[in-house]
Amino acid sequence: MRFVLKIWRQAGPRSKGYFQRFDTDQVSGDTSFLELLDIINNRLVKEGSETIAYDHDCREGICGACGLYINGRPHGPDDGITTCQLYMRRFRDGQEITVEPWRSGAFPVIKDLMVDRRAFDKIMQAGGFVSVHTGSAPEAHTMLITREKAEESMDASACIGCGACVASCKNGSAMLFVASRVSALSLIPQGKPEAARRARAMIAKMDALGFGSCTNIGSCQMECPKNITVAHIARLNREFLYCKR
Amino acid sequence: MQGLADGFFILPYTLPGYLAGKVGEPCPDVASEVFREARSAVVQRITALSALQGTVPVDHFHRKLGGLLWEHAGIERSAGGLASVLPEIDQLEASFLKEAGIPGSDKTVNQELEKAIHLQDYLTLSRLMTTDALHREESCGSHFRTESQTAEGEALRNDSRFQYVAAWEYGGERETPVLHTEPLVFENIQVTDRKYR
Ligand code: FES
Repeated sequence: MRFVLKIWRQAGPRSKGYFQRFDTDQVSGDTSFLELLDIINNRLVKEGSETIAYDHDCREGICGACGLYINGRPHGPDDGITTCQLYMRRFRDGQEITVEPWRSGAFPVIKDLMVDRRAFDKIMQAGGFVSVHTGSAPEAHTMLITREKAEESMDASACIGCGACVASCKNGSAMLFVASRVSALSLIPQGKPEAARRARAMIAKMDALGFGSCTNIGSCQMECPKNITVAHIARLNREFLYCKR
Repeated sequence: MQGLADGFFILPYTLPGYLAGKVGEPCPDVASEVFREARSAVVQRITALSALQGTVPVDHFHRKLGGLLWEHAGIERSAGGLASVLPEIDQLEASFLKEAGIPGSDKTVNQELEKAIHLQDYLTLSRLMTTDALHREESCGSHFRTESQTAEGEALRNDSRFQYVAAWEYGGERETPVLHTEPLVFENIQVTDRKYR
């Protein structure tokens, strides 16, 4: 297959960026999107030019490192997958593909397609944990929790912290990320006692770090590679109201 | 497995355990001799790598090294195969230093440079893994040494020679690592063999 890629290049956080065009030919449809970037980068090394910087680690949809804006959508055209799980057969032969880094003030560009997502770590440090030791996994039947709640908590904890929710939000809000963490923990007995305090601390941190507010548009849920829903935002809001009492 | 074919590995618990014991102790000062030595060693290494003028991407050598180890130093290994790997690693390193290209500078994020540093670590690790595997002339744990098997093809341990845990001490680049052993003493159980049939 043949593709024309327009890839965002930016030498550093304060440099002016631009799109660079790359023509690729004889690409197998089974090439993953990141492998295509590798192919281009190998070509650049041969020419002695600087390679395109982009983040990646697991390449199997579990680490959240590889987020890219592809043709205007976080993680590309498919739902429920990360960039590393996207294959070139998904595109038309000859198609023009635009690749950009996450576009959000709270995630400054480090270089090319690589952004600084440390703001998420800071939000986690503000409260995204259970502060007492609860031991290792308990015997399932000794926990006072229904199966539905356990499943819901599990769904929320599928979040891999990739940042697609922030990147897709017109307000640059991190509500879906924070909601998934708050929801996952407040639904289970170990995390329940601190739920309100956690919600308050994480929201305060999110605001302080320059993330925007939620106006219930829902694009985050559309673009989340783990299909986390805005229902968790409703739970986050409830916990937040509790903590005001 | 990841250590074998990719050169990434998870630090053993002993390291954080060691570091945890140091919590509260003052950090070495950046003006101290130790710090300056370590820093200049790193700078030297980065400068040497940045000077590589070839045209072959680092990934190429990384994959070759992974392939070599996968082939000869994996779950099943033989003395001959292991011995053949060591000179091949040397050759691979020589061609890496001659042919690899690392565009860009060492003053900004440079992923090609990062890859090259990792590859060098992996070269060191691969020599160590091969040396260790050569040394242990028995089949043990999940590793099968082809010369050490029973008539039925079961793994054959050699407890009289190898019943110990081993640690290798790094003696510097290109120095032979030093073996330290601690015998495994079983007081309450009789050590037996597991059969997979
Ligand atoms: S590289 Fe880990 S999720 Fe894509």
